Amino acid sequence: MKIIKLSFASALMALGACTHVGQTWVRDYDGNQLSITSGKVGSDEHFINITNTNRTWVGSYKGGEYMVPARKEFLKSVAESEASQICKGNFAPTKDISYEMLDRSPGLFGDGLLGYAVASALSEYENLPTAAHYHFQCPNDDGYDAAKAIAPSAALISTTTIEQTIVTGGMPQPQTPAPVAPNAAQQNAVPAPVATPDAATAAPATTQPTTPTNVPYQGGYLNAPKN
Amino acid sequence: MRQKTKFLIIAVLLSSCGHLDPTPYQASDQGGFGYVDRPIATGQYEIQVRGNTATSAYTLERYFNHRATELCGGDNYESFIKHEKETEIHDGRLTGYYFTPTTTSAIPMVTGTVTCKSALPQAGIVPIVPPVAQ
Repeated sequence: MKIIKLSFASALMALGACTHVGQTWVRDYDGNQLSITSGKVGSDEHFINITNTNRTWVGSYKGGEYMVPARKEFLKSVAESEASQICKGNFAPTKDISYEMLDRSPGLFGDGLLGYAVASALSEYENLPTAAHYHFQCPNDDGYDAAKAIAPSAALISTTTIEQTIVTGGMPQPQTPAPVAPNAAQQNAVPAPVATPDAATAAPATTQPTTPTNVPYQGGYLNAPKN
Repeated sequence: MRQKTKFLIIAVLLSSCGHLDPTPYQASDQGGFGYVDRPIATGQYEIQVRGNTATSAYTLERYFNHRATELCGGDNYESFIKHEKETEIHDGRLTGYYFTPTTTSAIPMVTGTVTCKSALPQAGIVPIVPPVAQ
């Protein structure tokens, strides 16, 4: 609980400092309405906040505690897709993605400790996580600082990096965190929702790379899963 | 006399509260009403238009097309438009610990992509007058 509290507080502090909110998009994923807000923190860092505005997870993501990891993975993949759109390709996460594990606004029951305690007590796994916060940099930006980047997500390590490891052989050498380089498929693909707890940790599903200009708009966002 | 004045003030306040103007043609404001767009490829844009409850789906579609015209520098574009509903929760109840929305409204919104036939905006475009909300 302390960790959640601290991460929430740090997210609020980070967002409060020189935050410029850019755009908000509303997306529907299998009946789950996500509000995706992006903007900049300071001059060189971007943020993405994804909120499940309906609070309750439905469709393929409906379920109890066992579905929470799958939803987290899903929110992360949406954030990464959004980041690659904003950066027009490569992006470098600067913080680990954080999730809100309260099923309502803490302020709803008062901003004090009591209000927070009530909100925490009312949180149930059917609604969690309610939101995700993602911070990253675009290498193409003027103020890009490679030192701020953390290690990229394993799911999005570029094929180039893997090939280099195979060619050189031996133990992988520690590398400076590199910008994530998702390929076309990763930019457009969102992992298919999973129904079992074991499948929750599976790698995101990918599709064949396609040229964006040849893909007709299908109504959803980034080939969102549909029933 | 005093009572009459009070009644008049209350009536004026109530009438002003009840009226909601449709969202005008504008970039998305703090409340999220208006259009947002971004390039997704060369000469290709994604546009989403959201309005308040007083804004019709038809109006939003006109806003969408107007924005497409601005981005492509004229009517030289192809578009894929999808009408969707944005759910807004006003109230809910707790069943045990489970939150169930009870009062919601489905606000129309329009999402789609636009492909400009000419990737570069044409020179010498006549300024476009924004459409008026209906």
